[in-house]
Amino acid sequence: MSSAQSSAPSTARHAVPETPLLTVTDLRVDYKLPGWRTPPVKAVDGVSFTLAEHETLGLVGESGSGKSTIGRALLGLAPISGGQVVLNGHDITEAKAGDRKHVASDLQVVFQDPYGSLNPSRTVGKTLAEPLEAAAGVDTRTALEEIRSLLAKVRLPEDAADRYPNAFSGGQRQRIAIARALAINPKLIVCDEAISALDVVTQAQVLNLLGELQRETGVAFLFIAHNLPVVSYFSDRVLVLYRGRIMESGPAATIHARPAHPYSQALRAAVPVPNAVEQRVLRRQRQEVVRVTTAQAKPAPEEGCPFAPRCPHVADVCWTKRPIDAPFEDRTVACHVFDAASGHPQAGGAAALTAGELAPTAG
Amino acid sequence: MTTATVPAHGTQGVGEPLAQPGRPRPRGSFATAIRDALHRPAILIALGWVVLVVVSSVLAGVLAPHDPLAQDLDNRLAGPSATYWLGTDELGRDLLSRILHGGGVLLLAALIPVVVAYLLGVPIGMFVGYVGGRADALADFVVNVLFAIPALVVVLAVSVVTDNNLPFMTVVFGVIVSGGIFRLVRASTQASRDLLYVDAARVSGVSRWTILLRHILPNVLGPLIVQGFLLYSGAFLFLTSLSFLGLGFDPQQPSWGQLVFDASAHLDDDPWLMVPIGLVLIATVAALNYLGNSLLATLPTARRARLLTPPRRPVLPPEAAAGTVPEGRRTPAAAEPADTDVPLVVEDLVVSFRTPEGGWQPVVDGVSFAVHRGETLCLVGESGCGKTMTALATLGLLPEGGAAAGSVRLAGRELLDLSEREMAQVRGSQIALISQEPMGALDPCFSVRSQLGDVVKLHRGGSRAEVRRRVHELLRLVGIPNAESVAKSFPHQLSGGMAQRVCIALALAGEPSVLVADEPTTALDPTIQAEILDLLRSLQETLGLALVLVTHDLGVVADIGDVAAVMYAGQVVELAPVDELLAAPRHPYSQGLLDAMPEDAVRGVPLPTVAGMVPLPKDWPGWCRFAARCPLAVDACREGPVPLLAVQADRTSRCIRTDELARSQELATTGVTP
Amino acid sequence: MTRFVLRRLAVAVPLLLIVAAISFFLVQLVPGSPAAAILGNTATQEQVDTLEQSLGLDQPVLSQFGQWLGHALQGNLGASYTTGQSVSDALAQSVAPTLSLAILSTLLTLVVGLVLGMAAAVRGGRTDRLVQWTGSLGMAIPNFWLAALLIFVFAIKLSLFPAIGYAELGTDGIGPWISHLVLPIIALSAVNLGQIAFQARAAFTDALSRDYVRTLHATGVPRRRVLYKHVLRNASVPVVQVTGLTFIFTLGGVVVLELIFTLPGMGNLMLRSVQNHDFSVVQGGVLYFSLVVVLVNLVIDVATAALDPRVRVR
Ligand SMILES: Nc1ncnc2c1ncn2[C@@H]1O[C@H](COP(=O)(O)OP(=O)(O)O)[C@@H](O)[C@H]1O
Ligand code: SF4
Ligand code: SF4
Ligand SMILES: [Mg+2]
Repeated sequence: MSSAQSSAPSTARHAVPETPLLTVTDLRVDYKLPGWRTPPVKAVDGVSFTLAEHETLGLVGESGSGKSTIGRALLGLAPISGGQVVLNGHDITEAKAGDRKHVASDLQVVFQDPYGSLNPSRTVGKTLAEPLEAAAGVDTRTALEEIRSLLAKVRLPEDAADRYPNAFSGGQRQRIAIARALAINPKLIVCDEAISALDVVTQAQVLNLLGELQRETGVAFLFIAHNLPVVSYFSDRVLVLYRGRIMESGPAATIHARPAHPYSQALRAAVPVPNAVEQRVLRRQRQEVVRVTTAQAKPAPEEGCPFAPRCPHVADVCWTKRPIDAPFEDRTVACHVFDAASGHPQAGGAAALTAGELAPTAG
Repeated sequence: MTTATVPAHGTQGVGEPLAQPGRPRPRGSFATAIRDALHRPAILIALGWVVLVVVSSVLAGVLAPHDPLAQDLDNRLAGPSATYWLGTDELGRDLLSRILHGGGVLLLAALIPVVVAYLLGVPIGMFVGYVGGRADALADFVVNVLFAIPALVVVLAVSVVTDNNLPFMTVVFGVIVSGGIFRLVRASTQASRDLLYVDAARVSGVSRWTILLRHILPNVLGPLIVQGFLLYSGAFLFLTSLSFLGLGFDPQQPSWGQLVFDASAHLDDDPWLMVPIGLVLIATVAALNYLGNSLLATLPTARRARLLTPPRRPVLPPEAAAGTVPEGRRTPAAAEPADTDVPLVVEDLVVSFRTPEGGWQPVVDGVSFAVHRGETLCLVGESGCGKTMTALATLGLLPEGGAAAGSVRLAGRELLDLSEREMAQVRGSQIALISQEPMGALDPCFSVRSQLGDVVKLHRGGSRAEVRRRVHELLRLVGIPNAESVAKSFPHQLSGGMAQRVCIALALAGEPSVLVADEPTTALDPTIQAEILDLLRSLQETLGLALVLVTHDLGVVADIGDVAAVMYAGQVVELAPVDELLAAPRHPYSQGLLDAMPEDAVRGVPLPTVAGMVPLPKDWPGWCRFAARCPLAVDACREGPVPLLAVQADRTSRCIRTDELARSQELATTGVTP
Repeated sequence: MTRFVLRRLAVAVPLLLIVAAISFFLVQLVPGSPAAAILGNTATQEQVDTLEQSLGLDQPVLSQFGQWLGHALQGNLGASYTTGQSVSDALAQSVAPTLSLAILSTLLTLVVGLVLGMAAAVRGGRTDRLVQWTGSLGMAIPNFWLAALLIFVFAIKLSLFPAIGYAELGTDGIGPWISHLVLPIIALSAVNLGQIAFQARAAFTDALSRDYVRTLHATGVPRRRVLYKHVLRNASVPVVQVTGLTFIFTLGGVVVLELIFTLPGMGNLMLRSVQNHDFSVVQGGVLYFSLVVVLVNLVIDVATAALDPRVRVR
């Protein structure tokens, strides 16, 4: 894996077009908790990014980091408490249930749980017809034709249309969900942990299918998952999220090969590789990239850096001051170490040293 | 009295199926279920009785042999006779005629509360259940008020106020019981509201009413129909009570409750009076309830297997114990029976489940392995390959309907021959289990301290203070620094990673020598997974545990495994030291698993992967079970079962073309320049 | 836990106010004047007016309600229109038989229902079918008919228990008290028993399939402990909740059975007042019954919260 990969012809689209497909600015989602004195949870805490046509943007982070909430907010399934979402030139921040019809033709979704995402009492055909009828206004007869070609697209037999979801395995159901998302030729599909519940063989099958479909249709993906290697394999760019904030963003290949932010490094070291020798190295490293385990960690500071309780490079400033998005090489990193003006003792020079140390599989 | 009208609020969802990957939820259409039910004689009898009662009440004027009001004072309290088939009452009125005439109004009036309850409960319940928020809170409060109103007492009051106006009284009763329907509908709507397929419909811009009708109403419909029967029979009983109290019904006309009241005045001189009317009432209500409950039973809910061990352990009959490869009792014993360095030896393990037809279906088919002290053996494979069943069989904890045969020896002792009582003493103290879902693995009703303390007490006894000290010690052992406060918590207050640590502490409480971990990290985030793997390794080193770890992730195998047994379709297909297995797999399936890992994959280049799916146990072929998906398959692979073949001193593979595989790997490494 | 109880109490107060309002305004719905109804149709308009005045019925409805509520809070529910006796006194005197009957029957159904449901779920097969059949039968027998049957067999034929009447627990002792209640309790419990047993069966079936059962086994906890300590507690939660809901209907049954067994309880008092058009007693009676329901629900809530810590946060 080399950094040259990021410009490999297979994925290189032209540079970001003038108006991106999706622009998210300072997105905030607060969830109220039961009880009137508990403060709301900041599930998404000021997240901004853009997504170009045909691009795949990966969102990676542990559970509770807000990655699914971002996806759900775009889809109108989570309440947006602040910021702006512009899709294809239209501001959809406030799109009400009734307006979704118009948004729907641009934006679709594939969920994680292949068992919950299909109505067990409706045939696959009816499930696939739903977006066609609702968003595209296609009548049932034409829909039937479309469904046949959709099923072929996701490599399912034609007669699948008449069967109920329980006749299919997890991987097959995920194909059906993909077909539903593709039905009205959206410009963007949110894949919310679409492969996380599948085991490795099925996961590879579904990833391959998604890749092929992207080549055929040019659809863009917001690809949400908790596994950094998977996300970087499948994405052009990656956002690393932690507690509702972006820690690091940049080209997938570089973040995977040489994660810069201390949290990205922890995330990178956490996923074991299927090679005994390399994994022994990685295992040693993963004990160095965090100070304490999650079980031992203190609660994160209200202001300051959310990773401070576990970060091996933590300094006083980290507990009190929120890091800015500092530019570093071809990415931005929200860490005081990378911000020369932050007042962190290691600020500036140390960064380049830290970044890239952790690359057992590189080369 | 009319308890049948109270839907099981609070137990809604009790029997709710959990999505179980790999096993589809049984789900037929409601109509089919009803059609099936109509073939059962008991249902036909119940239905027949209800029809009979309705028809004879409608035709009472024609059918009744006498005027129900005509008095025959010479024949008072007479027993059954040719003139009076069921005898007469205190005024000599014909009992049969009175029974025939006495049900109609009751049966009809009982419909009113049902209709009222549905008209109120269904639309309001669905609406507020879907939109939630203030409307929901308000409706819920109103229903709480309804539930604080004793129905009969209020209807009594209403009867005074309205001067015994029956329709009005039944409407009031309907309003009061509508709370039950409301809660049922609201609960199902809330449960469906956040389902992913409803979300998907929202994303597509499907209108709210379409979503309610198309995706939510069908989930509520079945329970509602069933509840209708129970509500009706409850309302019927309620009205009979009113009639018994002399309320709501015309005292001049006969009605069933009143008949009982009249009869109860003659308990000492003519008890017979009680009999016919009692039987009619009981049969009618029983038939209605039976119909309702039978419908309930036809509603599609997946029943999960009982996990409580049976008092006597099930035994596989000899013909099933051999699995599907009868000649194949062939694996050389992996270790001497009493070798203390090899605490766990599994040989030719077969696990079968009872089929609905009464036969046995093997799901694990002749698995053998041995685990050394301080060593980790990984069981690897896709889901449905039998890893979990193998793991559970070693502890004698197969779900209901499953049984094991072969040999599981723990420190030389054959576990499969032990009774449940003896096995209970082995579990926890010599072999323990860590399961996949840490949250579900702890009893939600007891604190961590109580659950952990119980197990400590069970295995080592000691005073309260000693137990408590040991609990904290165990919690610290599994990397929980604030043991005191975690001990006080309840499972729902723990995060997944924390819960898994507690589960590990539970498993270690009895100081076992063998630990079986079934996908202990699959449900966790990568960072937590890494922590748990580190914890397991350090525990293993300090305590000298033998660890059996089930996983589908070869990364996890690389991290913690010493030996790996790759499983496919109920069999071990490759057994090898982990380093060697990952460096050069000797079975095409292991190769496929390895290739599918995205770790070193290149963006834009498809992942090499195994096409197709793991066959279900009933579809296992009589030859190499991987043949249908194997890129190297040739005709020879389909000639018969493939045995485990030695490929190196310490490696075996269930493949006849390992050489071919090795050659292709060589080609791949030399042919492609990095 | 204390906070949970306080929160529940806070909800119970407005609930009671509303129920009080309902019981008050119910009587306002009487067509024509209650005074006329009391005096019967032979009374002159003058007599009616005088009575209305003396009962305070000539004042605006809201101020009547305010007054009534104010008095009710002090335990004064006015005087019976017909006997002139204080309504609170009349109700207080009749509360004991009613509560004894309702509470004992509820406890009995809960315990027996749990046992039956557990047996059905754990043993399955024939036990299961037996429980289901007896439960269905129990649910189908009207309590007044069962009461008559019980009187016939146990009081008239066998003379084991008194057929009618009530003995004070305080003055007459526990023996007579119980023996007067045995038959009513059985008659009252039959219907609920089936219902509770079915709920318990479902709850046990569910609890038995939970993962923690396997965890407990795996740590060496013996089968009986798993069953009687863990499964039982988990399964009890929904069953106790449903018992709370059935309690309203149990009270309805109490009214009927008090009539049959001539127990001097609130039910009989209500029935008498209904026949005599004694609105003030009816009013007070509805309030009393509701008070009992609200209190019992409170107890049930606290009981479930004690059993299941997850309930406490809701
Ligand atoms: N209770 C059961 N009754 C019948 N078959 C079962 C039961 N539980 C599991 N199986 C079957 O046993 C096979 C192996 O399952 P399992 O051991 O869970 O596989 P793995 O752990 O490798 O995913 C599967 O085909 C599964 O459907
Ligand atoms: S800001 Fe401080 S605590 Fe946060 S990641 Fe950077 S060095 Fe660590
Ligand atoms: S025996 Fe044949 S079919 Fe089976 S794994 Fe080997 S090569 Fe493939
Ligand atoms: Mg498994």
